[in-house]
Amino acid sequence: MSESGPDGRTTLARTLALMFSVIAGLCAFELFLSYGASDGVDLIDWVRAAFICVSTFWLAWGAAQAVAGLTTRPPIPARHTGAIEAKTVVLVPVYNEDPVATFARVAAMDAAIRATGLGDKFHIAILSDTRDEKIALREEHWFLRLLSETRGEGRIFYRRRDQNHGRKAGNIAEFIKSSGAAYDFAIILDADSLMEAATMVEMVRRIQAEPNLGLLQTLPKIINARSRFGRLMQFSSSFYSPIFCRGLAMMQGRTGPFWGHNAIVRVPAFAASCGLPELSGSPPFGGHILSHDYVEAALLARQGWIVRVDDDLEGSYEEGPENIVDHAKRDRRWCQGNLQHSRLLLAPGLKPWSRFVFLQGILAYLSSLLWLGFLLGSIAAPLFTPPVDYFPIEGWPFPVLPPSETLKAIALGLGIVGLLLIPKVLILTDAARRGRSIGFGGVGQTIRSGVSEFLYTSIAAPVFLMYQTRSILQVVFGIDGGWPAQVRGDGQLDFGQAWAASNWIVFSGAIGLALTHFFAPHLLMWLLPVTGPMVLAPLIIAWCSRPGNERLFSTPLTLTSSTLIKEHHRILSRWLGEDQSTSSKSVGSGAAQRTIARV
Amino acid sequence: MNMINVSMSSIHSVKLRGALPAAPMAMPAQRLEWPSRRMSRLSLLAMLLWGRPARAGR
Repeated sequence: MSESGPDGRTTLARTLALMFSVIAGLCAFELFLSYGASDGVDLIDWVRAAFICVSTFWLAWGAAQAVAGLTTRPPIPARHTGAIEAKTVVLVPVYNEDPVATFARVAAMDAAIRATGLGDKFHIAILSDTRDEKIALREEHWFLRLLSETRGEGRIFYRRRDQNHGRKAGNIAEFIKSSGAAYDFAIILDADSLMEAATMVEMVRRIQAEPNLGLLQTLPKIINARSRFGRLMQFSSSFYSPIFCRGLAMMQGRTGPFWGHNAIVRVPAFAASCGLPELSGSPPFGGHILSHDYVEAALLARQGWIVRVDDDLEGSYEEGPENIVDHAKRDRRWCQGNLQHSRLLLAPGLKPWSRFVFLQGILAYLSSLLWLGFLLGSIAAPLFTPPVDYFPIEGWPFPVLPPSETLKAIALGLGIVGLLLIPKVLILTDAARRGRSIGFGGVGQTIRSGVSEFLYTSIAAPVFLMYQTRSILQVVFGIDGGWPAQVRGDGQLDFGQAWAASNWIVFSGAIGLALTHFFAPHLLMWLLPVTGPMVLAPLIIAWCSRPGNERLFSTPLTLTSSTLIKEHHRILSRWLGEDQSTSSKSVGSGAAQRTIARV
Repeated sequence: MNMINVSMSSIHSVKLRGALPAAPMAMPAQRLEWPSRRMSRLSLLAMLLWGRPARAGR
């Protein structure tokens, strides 16, 4: 492959974003240090200023990404306009998933593909890594049902590995090693992914038109959410994510992202570039590469292939966690995967941007630790502060009061909140101006959803901060999170379940409040937005898992569902009826029943 | 087992009817680590000195 660096637009976007973020971080550093200097700068002030510098840099980086997304439009991509001759396989890796829901998705996508008249150009392969024998038996039963319903023999395949070596990446690699040469392209999905046939065809047209394109990623939108938390995430993924994704595409250029699913790869490029080795040492930092997608994107780029995210591609869907606890469980896996990338920062031959992406992924988790360090440092700071000397000038009879730096503290606080809030306000304004808000229920409804999203996430932020901190500490102390199956389905939690999952956060919050009261009572009000939600964590978790208001957090897909989603629900409800008549206690069908119950 | 009647013959049928096309393709394991810690440190030094990533032959 020919080597090529980033183009001018990409370099400019990266430079501006980096400059803005560095300046914001340094301003925060300087403001905090001068605030701390009112009673003399000591070591803990330097440490806290460093924490706030890095954290502000990270927030500013996100804000810059949003601004880049708002101020640019996607370039018109090259596309192959002739007849499609290439063979594409749609890969559906499954791991202890509910086969009824997953195979119903396959049936719906297969019907949509056949309707395009390109049924013979697209195959579907279900790649099972399921370890649970009961679920495996159901997979086999429902595969035969899928074949008979779709007449898919020779087009739809199923295989189950005896050993799930290398987890999901190993599952895909095993397919490529045994059957990869039969296909030009592979569309990689997740068990809960759904993709419109028109999107698949368009992806093939784009990757075929650009011979150097190794991987094309879409932005999947969350569908079928039911709980307050799930609907909030669904709204965010539809409303904010496309703008952030545009900014990301702008900055990543030819070294784009891979998020592990809802993407198309050029099979020979993927095979030649993405064979993942086991890292030396034992988990969590050694062993199998957990967040393989980032690494595969970096490896493709290392070989000179273009990796691109096309944010204009619609019709790409996934499902998300329905409550904070399930989100935290998934986040635990991602945390371990991202921190493991610290082993790869100096991997030979990677593009500088790929290394930076690894660093960003690590920082995304470490920022929680930095904020917590800053808060703990603030509580402990009075212990290190020397008593105020009101008579610093020898012989001067009147006391000299230290200058008040409260204004600087307020400016710093406002600046940090602004970095969080301004991108969202800009996206809301842009949506109202361009008419994008119509798809979200109109301007008023979009503003209500946007404000609610900000309030919900602000209140729940300390709970996420604690879960992330625990994940980081577990990884650092060598505790491997393993490979738990994804939790899908309703996910409603009662108070007891929420308490069991978060009582340690309540105790931590109570201890934080007590320490603040004793050591830094003047900070009690300032720290209440953090310690308060921690003490109330079980209530927040349980409340967020309840069914959400049908109007709040509307998205274009909740207002008008697509034909494919409706077809999936139709097949699913029919199959579930059969499943129940076959067995009143079938294993694992609960999630599917809840999925259909939402519709 | 008794919940869904999946007999041995249907398991065999799944293997037969679901079999993927046999079309092997090589997927060599890539190099992501330096052979030794010393090499890793040297690569970091090289990156710092020249401001660009160290390159390794593959």
